[in-house]
Amino acid sequence: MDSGSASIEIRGEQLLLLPERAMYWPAAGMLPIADMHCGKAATFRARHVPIPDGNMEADLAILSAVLERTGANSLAILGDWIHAAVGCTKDVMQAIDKWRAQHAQLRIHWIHGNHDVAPAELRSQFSFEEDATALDRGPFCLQHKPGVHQTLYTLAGHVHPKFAFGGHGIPRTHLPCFLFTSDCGILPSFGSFTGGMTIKSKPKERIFLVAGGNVLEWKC
Amino acid sequence: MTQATLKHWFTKRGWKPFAFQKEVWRHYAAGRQGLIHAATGTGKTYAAWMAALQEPPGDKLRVLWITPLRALAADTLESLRAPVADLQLEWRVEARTGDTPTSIRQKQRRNMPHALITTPESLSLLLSYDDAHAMFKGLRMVVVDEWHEQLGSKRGVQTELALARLRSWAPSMCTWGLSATIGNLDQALQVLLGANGANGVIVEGKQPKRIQIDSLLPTHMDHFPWAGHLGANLLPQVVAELRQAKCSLVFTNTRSQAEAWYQMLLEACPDWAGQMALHHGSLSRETRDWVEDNLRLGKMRCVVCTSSLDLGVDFAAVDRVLQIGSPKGVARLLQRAGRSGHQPGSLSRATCVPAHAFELVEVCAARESISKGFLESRTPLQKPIDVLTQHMVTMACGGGFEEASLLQEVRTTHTYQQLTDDEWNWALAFVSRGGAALSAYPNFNKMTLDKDGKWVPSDATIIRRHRMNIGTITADSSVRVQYLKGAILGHIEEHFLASLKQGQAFVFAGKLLEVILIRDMTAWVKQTSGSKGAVPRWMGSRMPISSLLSVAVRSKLNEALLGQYRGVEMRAVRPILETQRQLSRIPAIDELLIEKLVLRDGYHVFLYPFEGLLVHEGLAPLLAYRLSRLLPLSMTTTATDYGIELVSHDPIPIEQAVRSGLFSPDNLGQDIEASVNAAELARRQFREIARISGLTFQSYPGKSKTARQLQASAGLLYDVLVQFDPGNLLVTQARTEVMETHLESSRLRSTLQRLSVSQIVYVNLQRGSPLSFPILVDSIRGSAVSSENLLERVRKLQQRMEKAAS
Repeated sequence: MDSGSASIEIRGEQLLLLPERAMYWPAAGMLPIADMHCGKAATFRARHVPIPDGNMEADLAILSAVLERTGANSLAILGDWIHAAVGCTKDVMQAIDKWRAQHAQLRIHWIHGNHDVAPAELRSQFSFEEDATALDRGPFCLQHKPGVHQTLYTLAGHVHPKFAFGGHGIPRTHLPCFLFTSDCGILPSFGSFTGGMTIKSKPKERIFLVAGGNVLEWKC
Repeated sequence: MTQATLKHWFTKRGWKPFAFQKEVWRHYAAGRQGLIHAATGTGKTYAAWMAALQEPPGDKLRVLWITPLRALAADTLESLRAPVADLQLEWRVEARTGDTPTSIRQKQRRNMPHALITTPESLSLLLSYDDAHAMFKGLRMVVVDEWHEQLGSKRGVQTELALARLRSWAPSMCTWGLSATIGNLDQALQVLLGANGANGVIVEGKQPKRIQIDSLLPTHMDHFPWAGHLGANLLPQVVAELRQAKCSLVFTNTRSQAEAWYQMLLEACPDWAGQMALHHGSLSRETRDWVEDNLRLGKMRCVVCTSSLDLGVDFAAVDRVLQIGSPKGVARLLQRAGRSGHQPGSLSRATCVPAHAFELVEVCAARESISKGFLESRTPLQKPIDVLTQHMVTMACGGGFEEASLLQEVRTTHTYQQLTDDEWNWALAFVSRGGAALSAYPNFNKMTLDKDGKWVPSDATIIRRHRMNIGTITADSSVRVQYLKGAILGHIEEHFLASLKQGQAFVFAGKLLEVILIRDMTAWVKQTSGSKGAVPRWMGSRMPISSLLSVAVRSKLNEALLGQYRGVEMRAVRPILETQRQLSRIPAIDELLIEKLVLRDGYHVFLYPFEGLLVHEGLAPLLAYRLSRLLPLSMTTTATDYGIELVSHDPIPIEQAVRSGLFSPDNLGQDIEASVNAAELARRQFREIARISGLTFQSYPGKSKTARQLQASAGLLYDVLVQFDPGNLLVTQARTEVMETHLESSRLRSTLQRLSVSQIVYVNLQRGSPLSFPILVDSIRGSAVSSENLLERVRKLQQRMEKAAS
């Protein structure tokens, strides 16, 4: 369906892994993303570290493009939509509002992450459906931190997984990745101003690298 | 105190003031300043200190003594206090470094001693207090110890800026630098004194003791390894030499080499347990202090060390120095030799232990350069913006600054004399309202103008955080190595630990260790038994052979070409050079030798510019890139201090490429950008810049939540800046530093200019020549150049790994 994306089947459901570091679940029309970290640059500036603006707007534009391309009717935020309360400046909130107005029909599930500590009055203006801990849909349990569910397959974020490869004459490179274990799938961070944690490949786990405009399974 | 009292003190100790010391005292009395150069341990300290002691101390801080090493501060304190105590002078002398307890530091700020010994970092920290002016306004003399070590580094720039500030508060203050002899003393003086240097003088210290440079010659040249891993086959001879000496320093070029040699010596000399030690920069402070104390007390037989013992006070007991592997530079070898032979009547002796045959040529060349007085220069840095922004914040914290007067002051330093208005304005914007792209930094406000028109920090947290992060030394992202029982052994790079397999032992601090658990940047280890462990590799330990030494090596080879073998090393290496002549050619000084060899794994081309590792590392991908423009080829390149190897599965049209301008200096900048991954290198270089300019923090006091919210790697910040504020001068600085420091692009350019007019000699080899072997052996570490995209790279690597597995 999508050029550059990869596909994986989990508990009988097909999931598309998109090069924009998002996931699409066609059967449910749902687009899960993780770790956007809105207002991170603003947080740095508020703490007197000069980081320019522009990331969040660029990321929101990418998100709009993915929503349009997939035709998703709901967005599932697997936590850390907001970076920090101090970064929820007027500019940041306005940018999010503007983006929200462009997708007024979209259902947005906001599962809280450890960074989502924005004041309540700010949050209510998003008109997101908020879930404090987890959202169960079909065979999946969507939550922020990776974990094992008794019956459902967990989809989570929080880790910002990256995979490192190189050597043998190829320069060492770190790439964001999707990671699937037998009972939990972890999405790469969607926000572009986010770091990552280097993970190692283990037997029986599947790793999909986001390499430029492509998602590619790592087989070794 | 009169000169007579002074002379009396010298006489009482059985000394006599040297002519150069009296010369310094005269200059000082006449209000002049300058640079004193001589080898270590020849009385430079007293030349400067006794000049100051001839006047009464007064009631304020009068002498400031800046030392590059914390460890040196304690010894300097002892030296400075000795005459004060003996002559019952009123002078109060104290030290103030990162090791000084807080209570004493607070006392010092209220009541400064007459003379204070400190480091560049601790000095900057003092300048960040708003009462700094009162502390320093009575200064008469600033002594900058080991100035040659600071020259050419960002720390030196930090010192320059601090000196400019001190001069504006104490206009009658004079500056004296103490330095080892280097190639550009005039420039070193200019940098030290800045615009204030009209009355600067250079005083040459007492000539050091006789210096002897020699080599351990392998007994059988036939069995000599072409590129022995560590020169380990010379171990028995090394042990024999060490046993003849009372106390030796064994210098290596890398920390890994030090660990490996320590292990070998420990095995070879079990009777020396307790009298043999290891000393390098990654070991814990306590361990290093212990080693240094025991060296001082004469309790050590042998210490294996790195450049960590290049500097510092002299250990009287050391009577022998061994240098493992290439000396790399003339001044460096001289400095190391000077660490031995402080007994009266003895000579300073360094014996080189070559790791491969051609290092014997280097030793011979170095000795000749020393006898001719040719030494390397230290090139000063050009206006690093990161250090300037840090200094601005320091000045804002220290009572605030007026824009015009600080700009004027900064321009009195040598480094920033050419600072443009645009650069200044950018730096000021960066520390006040964000980068120059005004709209891109909303709500940013680090410094504000107060009612007197001074720039001051906009809140107190900025001051606190800035003080925690003052300095220009970047600690690598290192993991602490600690015993389960609690003792800390030192630090090791995270990268190395990540590469260890579970249960695999590694060698560190001279011990065989096993990792139990890694948590919170600490590797908990226990000692383990067994024979072999992995030796950690530290990054940044690659040091190229100096330009001066490589020219000297080329001229030694030219002599060999003419059949002249002067020097015992040259005679020893003669059979190998004659083999080179037989199989290929000994390159003349104005020639470039290019050897071609076909092996099972492909077509090899070797080029020998003899310009040092860094230049070759820049040159190799550049040549590969230019070749691949001529003919699409996938190529692997390897670089060493001597030459470059290109390998391809297809024939390499080297002659054709040379004819069509392979060595042309034209378009150099563009071709470098296109050939090496300059973007990735700049991204890595940004780590240090981000730290110095306050974008990332070494440590953050108090709230850990705040620290978490501000977590971002320098690489990530670099990406954000490149994308959303491309005009950021710190980004520009990262690119410039990569070109100048990492790739030595100006040296690369002059190399190309030389090569493009050189006589090129092509030789088709039937088998590997002596010159090519060290490169062949090194080529395992080679890196590939190709224009394929990321996806293809991933696929190719996968295929290769799959093939290897099946």
